[in-house]
Amino acid sequence: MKTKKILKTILCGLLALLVLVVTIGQTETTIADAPYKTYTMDGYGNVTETQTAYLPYKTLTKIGDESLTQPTDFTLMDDGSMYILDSGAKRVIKADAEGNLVMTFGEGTLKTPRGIYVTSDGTCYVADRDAKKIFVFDAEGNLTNSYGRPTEAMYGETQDFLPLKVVVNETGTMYVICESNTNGIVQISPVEGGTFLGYFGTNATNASLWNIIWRSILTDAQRAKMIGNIPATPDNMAIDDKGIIYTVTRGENSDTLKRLNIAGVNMIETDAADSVPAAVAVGNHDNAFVVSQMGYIYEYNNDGELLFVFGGSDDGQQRIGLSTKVEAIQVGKDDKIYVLDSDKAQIQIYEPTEFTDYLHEALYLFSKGRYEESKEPLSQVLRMNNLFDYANMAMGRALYKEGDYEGALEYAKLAKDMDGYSDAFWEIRNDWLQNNLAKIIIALIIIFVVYKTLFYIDKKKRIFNDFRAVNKMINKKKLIRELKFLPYFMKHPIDGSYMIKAQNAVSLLSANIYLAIFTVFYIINKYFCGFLMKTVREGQYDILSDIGTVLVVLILVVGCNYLMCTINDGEGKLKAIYCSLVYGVGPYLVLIPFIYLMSHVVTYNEVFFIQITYFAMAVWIAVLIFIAIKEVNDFTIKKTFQIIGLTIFTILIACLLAFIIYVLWSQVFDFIASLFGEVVYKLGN
Amino acid sequence: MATKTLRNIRTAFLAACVGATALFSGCGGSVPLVNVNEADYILNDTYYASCKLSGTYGEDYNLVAQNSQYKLYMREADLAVVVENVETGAVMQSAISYDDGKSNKTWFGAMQSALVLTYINGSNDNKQADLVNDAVTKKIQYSDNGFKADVYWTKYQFGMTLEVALEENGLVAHVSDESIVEDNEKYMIGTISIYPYMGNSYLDTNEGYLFIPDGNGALIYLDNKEGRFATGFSSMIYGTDIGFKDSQVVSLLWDRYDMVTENEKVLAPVFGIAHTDDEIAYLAVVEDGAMRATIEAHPNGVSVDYNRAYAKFIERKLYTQPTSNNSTSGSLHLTESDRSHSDLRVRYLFLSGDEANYAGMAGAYRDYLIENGELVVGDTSYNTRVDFLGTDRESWLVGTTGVTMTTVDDVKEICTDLNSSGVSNIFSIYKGWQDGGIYNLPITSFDVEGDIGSKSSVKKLMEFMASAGNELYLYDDALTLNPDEATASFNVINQVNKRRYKISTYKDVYDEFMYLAPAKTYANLTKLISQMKKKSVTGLCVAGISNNIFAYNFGGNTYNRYDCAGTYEATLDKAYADMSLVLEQPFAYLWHDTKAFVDMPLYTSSYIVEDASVPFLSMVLHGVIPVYSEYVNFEANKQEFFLKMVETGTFPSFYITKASSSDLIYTNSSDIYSSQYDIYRDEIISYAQELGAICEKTEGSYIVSHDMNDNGVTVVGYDNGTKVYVNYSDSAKTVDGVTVEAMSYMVK
Repeated sequence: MKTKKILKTILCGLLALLVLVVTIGQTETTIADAPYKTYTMDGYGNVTETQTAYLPYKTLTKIGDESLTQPTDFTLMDDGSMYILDSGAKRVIKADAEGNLVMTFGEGTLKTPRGIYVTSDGTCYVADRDAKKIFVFDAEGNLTNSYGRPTEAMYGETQDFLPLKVVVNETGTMYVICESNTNGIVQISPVEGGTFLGYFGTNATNASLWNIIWRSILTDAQRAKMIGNIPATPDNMAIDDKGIIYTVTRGENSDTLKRLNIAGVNMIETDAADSVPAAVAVGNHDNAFVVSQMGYIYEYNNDGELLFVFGGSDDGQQRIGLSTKVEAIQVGKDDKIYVLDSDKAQIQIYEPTEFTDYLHEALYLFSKGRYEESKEPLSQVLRMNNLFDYANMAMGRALYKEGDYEGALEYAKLAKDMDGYSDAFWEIRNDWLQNNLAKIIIALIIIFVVYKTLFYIDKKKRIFNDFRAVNKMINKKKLIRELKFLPYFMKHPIDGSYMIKAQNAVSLLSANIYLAIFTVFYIINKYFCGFLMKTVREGQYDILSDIGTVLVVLILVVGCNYLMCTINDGEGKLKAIYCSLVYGVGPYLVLIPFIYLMSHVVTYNEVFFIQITYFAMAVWIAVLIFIAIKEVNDFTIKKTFQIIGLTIFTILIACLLAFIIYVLWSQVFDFIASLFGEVVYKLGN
Repeated sequence: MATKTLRNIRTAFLAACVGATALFSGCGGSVPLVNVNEADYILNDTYYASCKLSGTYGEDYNLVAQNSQYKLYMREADLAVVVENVETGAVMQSAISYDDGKSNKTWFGAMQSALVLTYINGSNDNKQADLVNDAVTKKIQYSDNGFKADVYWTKYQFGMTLEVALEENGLVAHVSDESIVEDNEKYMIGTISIYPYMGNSYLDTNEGYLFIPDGNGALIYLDNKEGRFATGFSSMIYGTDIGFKDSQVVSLLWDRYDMVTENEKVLAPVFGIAHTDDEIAYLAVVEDGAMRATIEAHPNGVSVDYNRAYAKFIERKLYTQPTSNNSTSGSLHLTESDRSHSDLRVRYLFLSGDEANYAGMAGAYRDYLIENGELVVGDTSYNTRVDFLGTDRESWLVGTTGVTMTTVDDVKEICTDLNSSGVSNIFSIYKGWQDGGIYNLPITSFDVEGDIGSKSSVKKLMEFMASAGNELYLYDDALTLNPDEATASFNVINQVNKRRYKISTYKDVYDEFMYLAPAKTYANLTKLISQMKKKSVTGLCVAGISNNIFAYNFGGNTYNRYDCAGTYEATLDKAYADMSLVLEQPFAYLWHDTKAFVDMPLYTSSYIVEDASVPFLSMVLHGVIPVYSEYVNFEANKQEFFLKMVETGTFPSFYITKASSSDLIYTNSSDIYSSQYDIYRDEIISYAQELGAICEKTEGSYIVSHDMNDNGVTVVGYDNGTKVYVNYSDSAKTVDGVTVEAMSYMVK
């Protein structure tokens, strides 16, 4: 650690020196405000604003006297020197760390170069699309080798070789992204003038349920044309010190950024991604950077969690740090980010702020498992932004490792770190149980003894007779009888349905009361259940639409079911159908209080109990409703299934109809408003 | 090839300049002018031949006025002027003195004319009218200190009177509102630029810079830009006009988040050009017409190779009128029915010698403002600004519930603690004090949120603060209306196209805000002030209307920015008379209504065309009124920001809450991600000690010099002889024998 710090200091010093001798052609802005916002991602997957993570530091438009013309790629070496692929001029420009021109090479050889990679010994690989070759130059810029289309049959007989991007690992194996080669990254070994090793990291095709259904309908010819059938070609890639390949592919959502191990298996899933990624780079703290063509720069940690997104598209404002068309990104040893913009023909350098430096230090220590040490930089980060999600999460984890479970719980809740919360909660509950188990058992025994004693005394002396009388009186009330019918209905649905239909065992009032209770339970469980079970954001309430949802679903189900029943000679009246359906969801009313209570005490280890209760409840409700429909209308089992199918279909039709009416009406309304508006404004002028 | 030609041109041009300088310094005679290979150029026409530097400085240009410092020459053909320093012979010209032959007629006209207009013809608004290419009738009358010219474009049938006068400190160019006539409905005046090439220079023939009022201030150096910039600086004085803003945004992250921060607003209607080699400079103050004008500053390479800066007055605009609520349906392009009515006046304050730089410009502007009563010299002793957030609201089952951050008692406790820890003077703005929290807007009466205290407790707090040597101001965003808490109908403005103006917040509780009509703001503020006065609570901080003006439609009438600014100025003049008033980041026309400048931007908008940022506004205001920075909390580079405050003499600002800022996570204030007092206590104290010590040495004095050395050290000189050295570099540096540690400062 110490040596690392010393090295870092020396490096910083050196860099500071380099900065001082910056030459003309580089516009330097040491003090500036960022023209873009910086966001981070919260636990719900929403972005929130945070401190500026990186500030524009310097813009390179020229190397020595050489201007760039449509550069498309570049490689940044550890010592700060750069190889820029100046595609417009079909050459490679080498610049030293101060931005001075060292040499240019490749003129006359390169046709349409698109990608460049330079190994640590200065060997330069250039992917040339139209020359259909990978050119290799030595450290002096002399052409030493070139690799063309692989001849192996495995490559694919009709497959062309149009290399766009190339990276090379320590053994000299080349990974090449080729235009319109959807098989994956082409792996070429340098032995025997280029041996094709196979395809690597092939993207998967889209296998959604919809696609599967769709495909089963199509003919073979149509199927072949389907876009989703063809895996996407990666757009760009990077390689780290260990030879791990990172790729970016547009339109792959959480798989946009992939970290591929030696076997070509993805080991990362990101929680946010750009739809048009341009390039990827690996950072110094187990982090990765993705830049989109529009100029948005994403920084991810080791687990693919988004730390920052910043930068932006320059729509004519011409401000430093905004981009027009980004093609490449590199990260320096000093954590500065270099972004190449082909449209602006420049390389924009961004410098991390104090805040980001703290975060990186924490990131590094945390990923190495040094939680105790990581607390210092983490608390610095939280001082500056105590809503920064990643820091809250890491702080929670660090406290957990230390045994401060209360603290861990608090941070995990802030960070919406469910796993961390679950673990911390388990420990806290465990402590509590250990401390209180004896008391609980004693309390239970006392309750049991008291109950038995009272029961015994009552048997002898009838001390509870008054209560019984009251109970009897209440039971005489019709409404109470109707409400008390629910347990009977749940246990005896066949008889129960008959009684609802024929004997008016329940009334609209009792059904409405249960509906109201259902709605209240639904809302309470939705917003106040245990943190781990919650499906809505903390702090977000939408009661009206909850009530609306319940009512609309009920009206649709009851209405459509009634329609279907009547035209199929069902005997049920609307009231009977409504009441039996409401009583049919009885298990929800009985079980949800238990689920609610349980949700406050379970962790992810016992979440199974809740799930099984939910499942049992669903089956129970389904059976009740099925029997209710069958008995109330006096259908056969087959007929009942038919009716249920028809009801679902009718509901879909009703929704579609509502949608069509809405669209048509808004069109008509819009047309009239537009016509009126135009007349008014024409007359007004 | 191209570079070679350019080099040729440069050599030739340098020769020409030698000739020209010789001419201007009074040699006269028939000096052979441009000894250039004429074949290298495409010459314009005969007019060009007569205009180019044919030794006609004396022939074409007539001396029209003279005072002790400057001579004013004028050329009748295009009313171009030359201002010459009597002593040094240095000149600033309104027309180009050398033609590189690369411009077309339109550009050439613009580069010569005293008046350059654009007119609107149908839906075309970018046609140019000038005094060179168009048929114009002119009637020139000379006076003691200048001239007056009636100009009429015969084809387009519009005209105006340009008055130019040489005054003691410079030149005033003026077009009065009454003199502008438009006689043909087909041709309407769109914009008017007066002397757009005043002080121009070609490529890098003059050393110096263009000064632009972006953020605190910025410079564009007069070096050869080699065509790197397609656009220069073009920004509306006092911010863009939301009344004309189209709703579409060009690019959003994930189609939702606007990543680009808003540009800094132009807070003061000034621009300038300095030729440091000739030791001549001017600062132009847009005296009239600033409410609807843009500052244009374009270095060489932006369309033409001349560096220029000017104000462009907007008289009329085209706008898009959607004809339905659905954006996919049609829309019309309409022209404003009436032009905006205001005199147009630019005052060029000329500077020579040591003063011909941006520090001199700042000094000249300060003197100008104080002389004209636009600024009142006040108490500028050191204060630390500690603002508090009272309450905000978060959603709950039904409606919203309060989130209390800092109560009245908390404020008292924190201030007492700070006072006893060496922070002797606190300047405090209390936000979110009103009933219903910070976003219960507009504030229509003096009702204090029950969760933080009561009217009388606020009154007591105010008394306590005064007795302890602190100041307290209640914050009022007088512009915004929250449609979830107040009635929008009959209160909020529409844009010029009669669509309601809405601002999306992308926050959890309140997702949309609107702007109050200025008349409503006036009524609300008047009522609030009278109620506060009854309780003898006098500290008020007004935001929103202090830095926004716009054209708007309200109650069926359309108002322009002059109307809006007029209402606001009247409102705040009255408030200033009644209350102890401070304004949040106020525009220059309101500076006489504030006791302090709150939220001074220390940076610029970072336009690529800018070469350096300079603390122009800080230099103008230092020693006149106290200047407070934006919140330190949200700065990512704390040390750098601190040094910036040292450099500019700005007082620090903190946004403080008693409760943890994580409590705000579900409120609209969720962007306040760090504010807890416990975290900031030590920082406030140490800032107060360091910056207070500097202030002791500079209090009440003006900044007279500002030098940015190449080694990263900036030296700021005060008129009492104090010098502040600020080192922004990563290593210790020595300047004038003073060694300053890395990222540190030194006061001598």
